Amino acid sequence: MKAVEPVVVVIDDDPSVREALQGLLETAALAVELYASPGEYLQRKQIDAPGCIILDVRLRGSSGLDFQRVLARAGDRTPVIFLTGHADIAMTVQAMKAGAVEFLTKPYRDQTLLEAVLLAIENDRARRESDEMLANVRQRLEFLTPRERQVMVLAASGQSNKQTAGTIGVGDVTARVHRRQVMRKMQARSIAELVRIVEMLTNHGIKL
Amino acid sequence: MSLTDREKEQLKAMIDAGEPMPARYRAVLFAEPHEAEPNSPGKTGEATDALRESERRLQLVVGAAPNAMVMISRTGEIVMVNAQAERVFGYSRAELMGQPLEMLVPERFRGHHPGLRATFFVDPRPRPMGAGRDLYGLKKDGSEFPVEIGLNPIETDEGTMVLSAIVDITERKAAELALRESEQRYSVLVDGVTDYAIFMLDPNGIVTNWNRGAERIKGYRAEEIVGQHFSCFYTEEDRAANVPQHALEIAARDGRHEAESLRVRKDGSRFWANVVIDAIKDDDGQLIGFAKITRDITERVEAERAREEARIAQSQSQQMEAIRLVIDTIPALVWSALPDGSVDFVSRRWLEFTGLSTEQALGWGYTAAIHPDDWERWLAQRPGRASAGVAFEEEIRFRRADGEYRQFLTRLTPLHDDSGNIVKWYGTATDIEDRKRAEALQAELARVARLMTMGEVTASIAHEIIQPLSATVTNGNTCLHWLEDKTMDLAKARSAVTRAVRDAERATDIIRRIRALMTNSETEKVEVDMNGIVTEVLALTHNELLKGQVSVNTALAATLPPVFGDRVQLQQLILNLIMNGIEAMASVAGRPKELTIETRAEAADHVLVLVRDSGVGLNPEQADQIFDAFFTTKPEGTGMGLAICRSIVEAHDGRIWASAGSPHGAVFQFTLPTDAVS
Repeated sequence: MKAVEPVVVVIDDDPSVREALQGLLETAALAVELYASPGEYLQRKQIDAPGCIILDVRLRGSSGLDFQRVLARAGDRTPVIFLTGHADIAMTVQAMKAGAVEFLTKPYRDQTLLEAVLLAIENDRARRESDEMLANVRQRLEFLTPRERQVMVLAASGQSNKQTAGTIGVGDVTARVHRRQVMRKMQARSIAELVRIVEMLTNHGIKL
Repeated sequence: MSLTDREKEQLKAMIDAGEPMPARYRAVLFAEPHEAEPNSPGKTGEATDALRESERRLQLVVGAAPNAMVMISRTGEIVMVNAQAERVFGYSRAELMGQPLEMLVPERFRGHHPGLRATFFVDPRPRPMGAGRDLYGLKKDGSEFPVEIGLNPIETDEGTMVLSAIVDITERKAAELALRESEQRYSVLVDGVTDYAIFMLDPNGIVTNWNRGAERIKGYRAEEIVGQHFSCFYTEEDRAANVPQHALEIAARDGRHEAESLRVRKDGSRFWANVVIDAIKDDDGQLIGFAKITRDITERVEAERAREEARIAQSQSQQMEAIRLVIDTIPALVWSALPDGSVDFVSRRWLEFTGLSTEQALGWGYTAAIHPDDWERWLAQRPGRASAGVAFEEEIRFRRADGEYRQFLTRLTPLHDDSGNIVKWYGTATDIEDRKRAEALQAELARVARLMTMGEVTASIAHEIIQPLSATVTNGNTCLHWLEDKTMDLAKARSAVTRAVRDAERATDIIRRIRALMTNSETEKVEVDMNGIVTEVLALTHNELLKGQVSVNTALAATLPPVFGDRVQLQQLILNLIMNGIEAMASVAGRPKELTIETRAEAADHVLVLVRDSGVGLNPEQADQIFDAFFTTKPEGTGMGLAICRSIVEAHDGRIWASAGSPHGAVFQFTLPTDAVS
C-alpha cells in the first residue's frame, strides 16, 4: 500500500478565514485546498487521498449540516470538522450524529484544530485502507465456486477437512482439495487469516 | 106649633152659633116646605113666617152642608135626609124616609144598634158616635164605607129626635192607613238596616236618633250617642281641619253632601266610610236637621286598593320583566350593591356564569366568585371610591362555574339620593378574557419577534466580527510558529502578520459599519415634543405596565421646547427605557413598583428626560458599562436595549447616563438639544 499525501479541504465563504486556516495548516506541512462554498468543492475532481474537510456551519446559501447530508448521499465519507461562530447544543448533536469528527467554536485554539485535523486524517486513512482491503477480498470472493464458498465458511467456523467432507457429503480428499483452492484464491496464508477475511465480509453484511 | 119671638131669637142665635137645635124646633126646621105649607093651618102669621124663615135657613144650611145628615126618631125611623146623604148612601130621599135607620148600618152591627140608640136617648147630648170604634155605613149597592158620625139630639113636638152628621172618611182612612204603613215601613226599614248607619242630626250637628246599623258600624249604643255632637265620628285630623262643620255647611247649602273618607269608631279604630248628609227642611225651607247615612266601605276600598295595588304590581312586574329581559340580554354580568358593598341583585347571566344560586350570590356570597387577589385590591380601594362617589372601572377576575377565572372589565356607577349620599352602586362586567389573551399573545409575539430580531442581529453581528477576529488569532498563531527557531521562515511569518493586520482592520470596519447602520439609517428629523412622545409611549405600554403591576408617575414640564429629531427613534428610545424599567422591577417584591418619568427644559437649550424605576438597581461599575452592547444584568436580556438608546441619543447629539436610584432602583437620564441649537 503506497502512502498518499493527505489533503485538507477548507470550505468557508470568508477569505480571511480560509487564508488563515491555510497558513495554520501549512505549519503542519499539510496540503490544503480552499473552497468558498460546498458547491465548489463538489465540482472538483475526486482525489483518492486521505484527508478531512473543515467546514463553517453557517455558510451563505446552505447550512453546513445540509452539506454534510449531501456528502453522505454522494458516498463521500471524508470526515468533517465543523467550525461555528456560536455553537448550540442541538446543532452539535445533529452534526456529530451525522458523522462529524469535531465541532469547534470560533475563536478556536489552533492546537485543538490541528489535532482534530490530524486525527481526522488518520481515521480517514484507516478507513480507506479497510475499504481497500474489503474491496480486494470481495474481488477474490468472486473467483470461488459455490462449493468452495461453502467449504470456506465451514473451515472458518473451525471444522476439520473430515468434518467438512461429512457435512457436504464428499470424500475427505475432495474436501481437502476444495480448502486448498479456497486458501489460494482468497490469498489466505493461514486458517487464522481466512477467519479474519470471513469476519470482515460478514461484518460488512456480505452474504456467503 | 108656634114659636115665641124669644124662641125665634134663641133659635136664630143657636143656628148662627151652630149649636145643637132643640128638638121642638124640628118640625119647623125639617118639615118639607111643600108638606109643611098645607099642614100648617092655624099658625099665627108672624110665628109661621118666623119659623118658615128659620126652617128655610136651616134647610139651606143642611142642604149646603158638605156632610150627609140624617135625622131619626126615637124609634129609629128616618125622618129627614139631605142631598149629601142621598149621594153618599146611594138612596133617594123617598127610599129612605120612614125606613128604619138600620138599613144604613152594615148587617153585622144591626143587632145591637137599636140598643145603642136606646142608650143615647137615655142621656141625649151632642157627641160623636161610637167612641173608639170604627163605624161603617152601608150603601144601597151593599158596599161599606168608614164613617164618622156626630149625634145631636133635637127636641121636637114629636119628642126627641137625633140629627146625625155622617162624614165619609174613606179617603182619610186610606190616607191614615197609607201613612201608618209608610211610617211602619220606614221604621222597619231604618231600624232594620244594619248595613248602613242612618241617623239624624239637628241643625247644630247633635245626634238625635240612631239605628241599629249605626250601632253596628260605629259601635255606640243609641243612649250613648244621642245628644252628642257628630264630629266624634271624624278623625282627629279632620276635626282639626273643621271637616265636620264644613260638611254640614255644604249639605245645608246644596241640600246634600257626599264624601268618602276615614271615620272613627267608638273604640278609636278607623274605617273607610261613604257618608251622605241630606239637609232636612220644613215647608218654609227652614233647616230642621240632617239625615246622615254612613256606609262602611272599608272592604270595597280595600278591594279597590288591592286591585289597584295588584294592577300597579302587575305593571311594575311587566316593567321589571322588560328590564330584566334587557339586563339578561346584554352580554355582561349585571348587579346592584348597597353602599356597604353587599349585593341585592344579580342578573341571570351573572348566575349562569358563576354557577351560584341567587341565594348564594346575594349579600356577601358573591365574593366567592371574585379572584381573592382582586377582592383584596378591591377592598383596599373601596373607601376611596366610596368617598369619591363617581363611576369607575377596573379589571376583575370572576370565577366561572367550571372554576376558571376570567378577566372582566368591571364598571360601577353610583346612584345618589337628593342629598348626595350614595344609595346604590350599579355594576356591569364584560368578559375581556379572550381580548386579554389575544393582547397577551400579541404582546408575547411582539416580544418574541423582538427577541428573535435582536437574536438575529446579535448572531449576525457576532458572526461578522468573529470571522475576522478568529482569522486574526489564527494568523497570529501561525506567525508565532514560523518565528520559532526550528521552523524559522520569516517570509511566511510576515505573510501571516500581514493577514492578521488586514483581518483586524476588517473587524474594525465591520463594527463601524454596524454603528453607522444603527444611527444613520434613514432618519427623518422633524420638530418633536418629548412630552407627546412620553404620553404616546405610555399609552402603548399600558398593558405591559398593568401586567407588571407598575404604577406610573409623570412630572412633565408644562412647557417644553421641541427637539429636532426622528420621531420613531425617539419613541424607540423612550420605549426601551420604559421596558427596561418594567423588566428591572419584575422580580421586586415587598415594595411598590413605581416608574417615574420627568421632562424639563435644561440649560436653556436642552431638554432633559428622566426615567426612574424602583427595580433591582445598579452599582457604579455597571453604570459605566450599562450602555455597552451585549452588556446585561438580566438573564434573558440581549444587552442591546440600552446600547440602542445610547446610539439614538448620540445620533441626536445628546447625552445619556445612568445612576443608582435612592433608595432603590436606577435612574436613566438623557438630554437632547432643542430645536434652537439644531
